[in-house]
Amino acid sequence: MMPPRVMAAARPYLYLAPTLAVLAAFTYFPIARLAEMSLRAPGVGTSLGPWIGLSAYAKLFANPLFWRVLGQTILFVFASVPIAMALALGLALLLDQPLRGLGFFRVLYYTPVVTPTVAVAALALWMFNANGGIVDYFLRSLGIAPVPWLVESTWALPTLILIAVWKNVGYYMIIYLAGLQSLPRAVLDAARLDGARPIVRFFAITLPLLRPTTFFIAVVALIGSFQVFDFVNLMTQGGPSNATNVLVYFAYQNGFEYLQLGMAAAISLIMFALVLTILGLVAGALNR
Amino acid sequence: MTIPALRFAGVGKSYGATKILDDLNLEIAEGEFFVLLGPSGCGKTTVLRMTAGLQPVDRGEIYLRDNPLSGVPPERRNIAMVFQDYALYPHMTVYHNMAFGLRRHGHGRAEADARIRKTAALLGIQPLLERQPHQLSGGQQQRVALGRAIVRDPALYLMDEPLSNLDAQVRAGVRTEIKELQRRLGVTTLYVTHDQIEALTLADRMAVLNEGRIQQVGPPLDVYRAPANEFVASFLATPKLNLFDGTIERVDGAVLVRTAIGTFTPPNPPSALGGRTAVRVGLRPEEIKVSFALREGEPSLAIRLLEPLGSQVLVIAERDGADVTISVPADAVPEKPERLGVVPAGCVVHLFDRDDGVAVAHFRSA
Amino acid sequence: MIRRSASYAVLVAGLVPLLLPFYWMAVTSLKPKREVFTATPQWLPAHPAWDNYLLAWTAEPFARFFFNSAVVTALIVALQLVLASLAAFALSRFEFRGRHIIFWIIVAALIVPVQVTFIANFMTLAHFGLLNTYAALIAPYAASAFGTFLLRQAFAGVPRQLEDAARLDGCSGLAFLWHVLLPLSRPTVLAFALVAIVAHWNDYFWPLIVTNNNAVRTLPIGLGMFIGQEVTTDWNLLMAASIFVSAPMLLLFFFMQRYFVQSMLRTGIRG
Repeated sequence: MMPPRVMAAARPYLYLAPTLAVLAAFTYFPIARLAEMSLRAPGVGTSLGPWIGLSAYAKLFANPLFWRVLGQTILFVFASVPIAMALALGLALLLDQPLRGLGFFRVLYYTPVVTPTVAVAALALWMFNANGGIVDYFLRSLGIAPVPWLVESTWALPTLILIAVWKNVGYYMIIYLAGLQSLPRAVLDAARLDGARPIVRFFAITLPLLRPTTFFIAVVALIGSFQVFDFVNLMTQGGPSNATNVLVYFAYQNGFEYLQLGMAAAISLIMFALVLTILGLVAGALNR
Repeated sequence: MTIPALRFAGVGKSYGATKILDDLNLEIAEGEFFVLLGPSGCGKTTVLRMTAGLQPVDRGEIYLRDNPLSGVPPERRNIAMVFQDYALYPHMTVYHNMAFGLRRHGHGRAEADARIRKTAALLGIQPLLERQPHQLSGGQQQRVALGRAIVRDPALYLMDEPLSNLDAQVRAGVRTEIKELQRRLGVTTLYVTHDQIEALTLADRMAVLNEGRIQQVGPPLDVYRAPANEFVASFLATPKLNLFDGTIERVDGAVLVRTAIGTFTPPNPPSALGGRTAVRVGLRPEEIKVSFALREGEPSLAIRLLEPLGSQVLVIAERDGADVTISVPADAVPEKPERLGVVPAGCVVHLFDRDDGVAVAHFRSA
Repeated sequence: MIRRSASYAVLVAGLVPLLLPFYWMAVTSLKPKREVFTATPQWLPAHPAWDNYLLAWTAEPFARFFFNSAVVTALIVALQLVLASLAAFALSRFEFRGRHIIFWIIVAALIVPVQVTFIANFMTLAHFGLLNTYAALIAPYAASAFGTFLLRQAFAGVPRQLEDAARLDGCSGLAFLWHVLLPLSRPTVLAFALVAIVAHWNDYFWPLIVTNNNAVRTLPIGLGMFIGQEVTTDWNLLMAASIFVSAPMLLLFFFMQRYFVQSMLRTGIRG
């Protein structure tokens, strides 16, 4: 039995051990494992084949489909996240007043956030359906021709972007609202007396002071954008003709459909690198 | 007749059924340092915010140099305000904090720069210009807040208890500086506080506010010497005003005011007394004369507590259940005193109506 | 600044595209087959077909899926609470070497989503023969970086003096965690638990990766399979299924909304 002093000193490490063990096993170790997998040929069952160096990556970069998928992923992220954030900020600004029914609006706008992606996918398939879909009905009643939402390559990804924005705007709105309500009122009053009209106040004072909140939401949104896999898998399966194929789905295809585990691992790592790069860019831009 | 710099005409404000301010009428002259004094919740900050345009006026009108302010948004009122918490822009340097308002009002870069440097020199904050608010001490932040207001050269300064967040030691120094600055710059200033010392030392004229109504307006010394009612008298007393019930006796054409602690005689019978037989008598701790050598016929009081304050001693004495607080010069207090007597001659006495507290007379007792 | 009536108008207008789909989902779920496809949308079913729900429920082993979802979600959240409480306790109330580094290591895990590591985790679980088990569904989620972070903030807010007083009263260590820290942090614990319950109940991705057997499949997977079957055919049944899959979390959310909002507020908005 160890002396009590040592026991006492070991306690915090003991309490941290389970968490660190799980994170090591399922978050950190996998990154190393993915690196290894991407550099080896797929083997039998769960074992890996011989080392093949960077040829998986070479094959990937030579594949035009990979570049298309990468481009679509970047497009998806850079469209869905800023649009959702801008809408969320606008809504939060409207709610940041002595308004009755604030709680009411907050709850209702958050409803899509707690709805399972599967249910949203089923609903979207039904609503955007060419036959009987209600979205086309509304377009027709406004005199616009119906759109081949999920059927045509040019429309499919935008449809998914729209769905992603719909699902998440309430979440970001609540965070922005909290951020707005924590801004010091007196500073905004001072700006008014200094002659700054509402729009000037927003850009010169409110927005800069919201930078931490914006950064937080951007990170959350970026990590959350992976949720698009569910929609791609359930609604388009990457199509039509790979128009909605994104990195996470591409990795899944390579791993589970084509059984090219090495490729899947390589794609996963590239995806991770992309996330880190975007995070770095956002951090740089906002922490100027 | 000169136009007053700031005029409140019948101004009122309510939140629902509660009246925060009721029929406020006030005129402040150009260049005047005017202090609004009152306890928390009396409505003084509301007056300031309405003048700034941050809160709407429910009734009446506020005029700045004879121009009505209703309908003019805060951005265009040409008023600068120093906030209690300073409200500096946290993400801008001191320089930009001061430049922001100038640029918004259309001043060119060069002109703004000149003004900022001049004001910074005036306040001694030149070395701080490139720093950010979080790098400054409370006192420095307060100077920057002042600088931000001064640099605008507005028609009016509003100050919302600017000294309340400062350490006690720093406060007195800054108080003097504010007074000197205002004299030098000559800008009309409306200053709000609950601290009577600030009011008495800073104001050219002051108003005492309670529960949304002005109790008295006038130069500080007038308000101090002749408070209009019990509230004003007690608010302007340290540590507190002594109040007693008094009965009036009329003897041979003279008037006597009898209280539990002594009998006071006004040199001339006050006409405002009318036919009253009962009054409330107010005496400030520093305006009561006492003697520790007891005299025949004069009531004596038992000393309960002594609070030495350095050059003065606060003596708390009592008689017949009534407590009195008296401020006595330290070297007049004997070793371990037990009783004292009030010497009426020389005491400053304030008489108030028993029902509504309005002042009836102020005199130095014979 | 913006006029109130205009604000209300925009906010309400915004609710229409957000909530109308839910209404449409509910309406469709109650329509008999012949009313599903009509020239103009029928906003109320003429003859509500309540047995759509029964039909949908029995079309797949939803009962089993529901059970699996319940068990897996409960176990995940329970484990997360335990592990996160212990980790947060260590990080907030003890001084030890590596305290800061370990904290950042845990927080860094927040930016590595399961969609990046899934291939490797799949391989790991396959290697140990754990595919198609509850263990596979639960293990990667047993620890929660998010929960650890939230609870650490909450625990750190409890004053040192309270801890000292508790020690003098004979309560220290894990007892202090259980009797003082956790009760005082109840709102945070609740907020985190709610967010975790919703996230894991609604999880489609990870169960898809590690299960292909009805014995362990969860509700979202079941609905996903149902979509594959029913798309372009029985929309009404599909909508009914979507509703009973979404209902538990929607109900939980409506009854506990205050606590959901709490979790948003506590996650370092102040930078």
